[in-house]
Amino acid sequence: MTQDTLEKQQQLHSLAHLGPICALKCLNNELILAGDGPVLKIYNYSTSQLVFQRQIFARNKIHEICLSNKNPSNNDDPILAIFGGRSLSIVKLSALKSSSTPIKELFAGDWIMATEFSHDKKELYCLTAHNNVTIIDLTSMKLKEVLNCNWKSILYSGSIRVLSDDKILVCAGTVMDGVLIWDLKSREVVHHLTAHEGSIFGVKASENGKYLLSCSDDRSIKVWDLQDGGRLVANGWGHGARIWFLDFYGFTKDGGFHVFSASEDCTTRIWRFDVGNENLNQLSIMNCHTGRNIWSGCVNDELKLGFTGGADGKLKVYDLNEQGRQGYLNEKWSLKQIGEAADVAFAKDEIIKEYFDLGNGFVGISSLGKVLVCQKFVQWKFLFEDSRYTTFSLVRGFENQRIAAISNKEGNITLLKFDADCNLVHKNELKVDSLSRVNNLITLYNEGRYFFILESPNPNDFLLLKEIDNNLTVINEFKFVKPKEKVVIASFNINSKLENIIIGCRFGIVLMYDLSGHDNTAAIEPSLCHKKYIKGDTITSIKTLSKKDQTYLLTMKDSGYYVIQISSLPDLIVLEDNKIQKGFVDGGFYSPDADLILYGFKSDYFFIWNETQQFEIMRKICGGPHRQWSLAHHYEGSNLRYRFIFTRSSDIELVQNGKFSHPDVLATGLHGREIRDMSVVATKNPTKKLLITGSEDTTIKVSTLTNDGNAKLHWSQRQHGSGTIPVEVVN
Amino acid sequence: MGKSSKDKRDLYYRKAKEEGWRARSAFKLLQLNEQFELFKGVKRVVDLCAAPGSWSQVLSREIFKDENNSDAKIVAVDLQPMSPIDHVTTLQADITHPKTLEKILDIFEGGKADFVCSDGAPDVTGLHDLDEYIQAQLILSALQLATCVLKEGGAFVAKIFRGRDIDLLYSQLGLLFDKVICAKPRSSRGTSLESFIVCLGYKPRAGWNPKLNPNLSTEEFFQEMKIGRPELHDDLSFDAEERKVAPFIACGDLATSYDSDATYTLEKDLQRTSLDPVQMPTAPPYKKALELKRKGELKIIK
Repeated sequence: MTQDTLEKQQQLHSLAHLGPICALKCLNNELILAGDGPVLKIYNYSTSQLVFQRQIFARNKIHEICLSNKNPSNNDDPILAIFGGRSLSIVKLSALKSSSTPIKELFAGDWIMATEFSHDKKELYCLTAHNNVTIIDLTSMKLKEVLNCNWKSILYSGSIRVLSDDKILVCAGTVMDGVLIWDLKSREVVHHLTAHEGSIFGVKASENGKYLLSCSDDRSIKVWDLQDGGRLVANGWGHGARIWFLDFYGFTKDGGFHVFSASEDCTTRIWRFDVGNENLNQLSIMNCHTGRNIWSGCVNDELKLGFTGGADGKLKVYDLNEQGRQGYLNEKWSLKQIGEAADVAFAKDEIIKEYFDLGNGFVGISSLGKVLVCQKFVQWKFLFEDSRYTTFSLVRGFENQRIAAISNKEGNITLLKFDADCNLVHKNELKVDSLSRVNNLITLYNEGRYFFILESPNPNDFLLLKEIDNNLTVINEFKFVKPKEKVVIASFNINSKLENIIIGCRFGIVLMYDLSGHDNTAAIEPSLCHKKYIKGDTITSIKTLSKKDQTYLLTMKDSGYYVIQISSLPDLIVLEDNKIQKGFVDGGFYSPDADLILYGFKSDYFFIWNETQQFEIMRKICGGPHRQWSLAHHYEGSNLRYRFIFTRSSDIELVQNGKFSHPDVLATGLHGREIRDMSVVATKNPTKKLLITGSEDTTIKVSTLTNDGNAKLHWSQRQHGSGTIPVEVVN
Repeated sequence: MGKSSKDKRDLYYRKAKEEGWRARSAFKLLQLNEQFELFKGVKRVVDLCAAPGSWSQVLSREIFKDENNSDAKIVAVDLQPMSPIDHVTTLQADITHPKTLEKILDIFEGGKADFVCSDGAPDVTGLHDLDEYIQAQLILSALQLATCVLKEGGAFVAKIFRGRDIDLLYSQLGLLFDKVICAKPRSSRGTSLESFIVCLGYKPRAGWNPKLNPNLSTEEFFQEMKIGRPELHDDLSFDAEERKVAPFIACGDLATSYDSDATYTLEKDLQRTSLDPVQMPTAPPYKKALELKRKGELKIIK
C-alpha cells in the first residue's frame, strides 16, 4: 500500500447529516428533494426509501430548492437551483446524480432569499437580502445584470412569481417596511402592503398572480388581492408562534383555495379561503414535530399531499385530502335524526347513554333501555326495548368480534351477537347474583377467547371473571378475593393458557391472580398487589408485550406509560417508566412495525400519538374528556385505520379515516433542539450501533445508528425537568 | 424587563431593577468600561439601537459624574420610541438614513464623536446562519454610521454573536481600527453566544470619504470602502474572504462582580420582595394574536 492511499484511507470523511430540514420540494409524484443541512437527499414518498444523497455546499445549509419544471407529473431532466445563505448551485438533475460531475458553488452577490427560472428557462432570477435581483444567464452561466426597485430594505423573506415573459413579480418581505411587490421589468413598486406588524417571514404569490399570502412576527396569515389594488381580503389567526412556511393548494371553481402552513409552534395547519369571507378559516391542526420550529414545507397539489421538515430532522407526510379518501366517514346524528332513521319515538330528555363499536356498525342503548344498532355506521335500526336497563346500563363488547354485552346494576347481562351485515343473530341472558351490585364491566378478547370481569363497589364482594364462547354461553368462571386496600379496577389482561390474570386499577395498583390449578368454585387470593412501583392515576390499559418474558405495557391516565415484568411472583420489575409530552393516556397498542401508539385526550381534543416516532396521527376536537367515546382501530398493511365515536352535547359524532397509501414519515429525525451530548454503544450486530443523545429539549433519545450513518429513533425518555447535559453509558 | 421569565432569575436582573437600570445589559457596558476605560475623556457619544435605554443611562451617569464633562453630549438613536433620560438627546430614527447622520452632527455642533456603541440585536429566528447574517448586517449599519461620525482614534463597541463567520468580521474591522478585541463581560451569560466587539483607535480608510446614501445598501457602502466584503463577479465565483482571530478578553472583576449563570441566595429581608420593572415592555408585534388567544377566538371551524 502506498503512502498516498494509506493517507486517503485514514482521512475522516462524512457519511451522513442528521439535522434540521430547511428545504423541501416535490420532484415528481414519487420523489421529494430535502435539504438536510448542506446535504441534498431524495426520498421516494411511496416507499419512504432514501434513494439518493449528496453534499451540495461546503458549509452552508440548503434553504430552498427551485425547479425549472413546475409540473410534478413530468419526468424530464429539470434544472435545480439550490441555495442557502450566500451559496448557490445550478445543476441538472442528471448531473447531480452523477457523482463524477462536480457541483460548483456560486455567489450571487449577497444572501439569497429566493430564486426562480425565467419563463423560457434561459435565465435565473435571484432575490437577495437587500432587495436586489441578480439575473444569471444559464447558457453562459455568467452574471447578466443586477436590478432593484430603488428601495433597499433588508429582507427576511421573499419569492419571485413569473407570470409571463415580461410579467415578473418580485415579492419582498422586509424587516421593517412590510411587504413590497415590485415588477422586475419596470423596476417599479406595484404594491406596498403595510397591514402586518413586525418583520415579514413569508410571502408568496399564487400561480396566476391574483392572490398573495404573507405572514409576519404578528403570527397572522394575510391574503391580499393583487388584482384589486393589493387589498387585504382575509386574515388567518391561530398559530401560537411565528410561521415559517405557507403555500396555496386546492383552488376550487368558486375562486376559493386552501393554505398549508407550518410554524415555530411545531404545528402544521390547513386553512380555507372563500371569496368574500374575511376570515381564513382553520380546518385542521396537526402536531407532528418535536422541540421547536418547522422550517420547511411543500405541497403536491395533484396528489393532495403536504410535507414538512423540522428542526428535529423529521420529514413528515400529510394527507391534504382526508375527506376524499376511500372509506372516510364523518357523521353526526342528533337524537331526533336517530329516531327518524330508526323509526322509534324517544321520550323527552332521553339520550343514547352507552355504545360499543362492533367493527361493522355500533350498538347503543338509550337511557330508557332502547337498544339500537347503527349498521355500517350509516343506517340506524331499532332492536328492542328492555326496561331493566333504564337509568343505569353499561355497554361493552369484544373488539372486532361483533359481540356486545349490556349490564345493569342488578347483574342482568344481555349478550348480543351480530352477523357480517350487523344484523342481530343471537341473544343470551345471564344473571349474576353473587354481587351486591354491578357497577363495572370490563371485556377482553384474547386469541379467540372472550373474557369479562364484573365488579361491585362492595370491598367484601368478589371480582368475577367469566369466559364465554362464540355461542354466548359461559364456559369458565373464577372468583377473586379483593385485596385489603380498596381497589377500583380499570383494565385487565389474561394469558390464553389461563395461567394468570393481571388487573390494573386506580392509583396505579397492579393486581395479579394465579389461575393455574384452581377450579371454578374456590375464591382465589391475590398473588400480587403492588402499589408502590407504579406511580400515578388509573392504569387505563394492559397489553402483553412478551408472553415468554411476562412483560406488559401499562398506560397511565396521567400521561405516562410503564413496561413491567412479572416473571417471578410476587416481584414486579419496572423495566421502563416514561411520560408523553402532554394529555391523558387512555390506552395504547403497537403497530405492525412495532411503533408504540398511544391515545387519549388533551384539553378539548382527542389524539392518537405515535410515541416511537413522536408525531400526532390524528387530532379531533371533541370538547375534551368526560364524555362517552369509543376508539376502534386496525391495520391495513402498515396504515392505521381508526374510527372515533364520541358524544357531544347529546349528538353522536363519528370520524373514520380513509385509505391513505403513503407513509406518514420519511425521516424520523432526533431532537428539535440543541443536542448537548451523545454516546455510541456497540451492539452484537456489527453494522448497527446504539446512539444515545441528550438535548436541550429535556429528553434522552435512543436510536440505532447504521454503518451508512443513518439513525432510526426508538425511544424518547422524558424525565428531566430542564435541558440535559451529559449522557454517559452506565453499562 | 418582565418579572417572571425563567431566564431572568439571575442576580443582575434583580440588581438592575434595584439600581434603576432599564435592562440588565447596563452591567455589560459598565464592566466593558472597567476593562477598557471607554468613557475616559469622552465628550461626544452616539448610542445606537438604544431602546429601552439602559446603555444611555450608563453613559449619562458615568460621563456626567465628572464635573469637567458638563458640556458632554450623548445622542441615543432607535427606531422605537424611548422615554427621556437626563443629559441624553433621543432620536427616533433609522440609523442608515443620511438625515439621521445630519441630525447627530447638528447636535454635536459639527464635532465628531469619541465613542459609538450599539447593543442592538435582531429577534432571533433560531436558524443560526440567518440570525448571524442579520446580526452582521446590523453591526455593519452601526459601523457605517460610526465611520461617518467617529473622530480618528475614536472607539466603537457593538454586540456580536460568536457564530461561524464572526472571524470574517474581525478581519474586516481590523482594517478600520488599531485594535479589535472580543470581550465577554461577566454579566453576559456564559451559555449565550453573545460577546462584544471592542474596536479601539479608529483609522479612517485613506483617500475615502464615507457618505451615507439612501440608494446604497450597507453591502454596497462597504464594497466601496474595500474592507474585504465579498464582491459579485461576472463568473459568479466565490471570493475567499480573509478570516482572523480576535483576542478574547473576559471582563468584570471576579471578586466584586456576580456570575450571571449562578444562583445566589438573597438577603433574608429581600427574599419575598418582587420589584417592578423600571421600564414596562413595549407592545410586541404579536400582541393581537395573544389577545385573540386569551379571548378563545382561535377556534377551528369545521
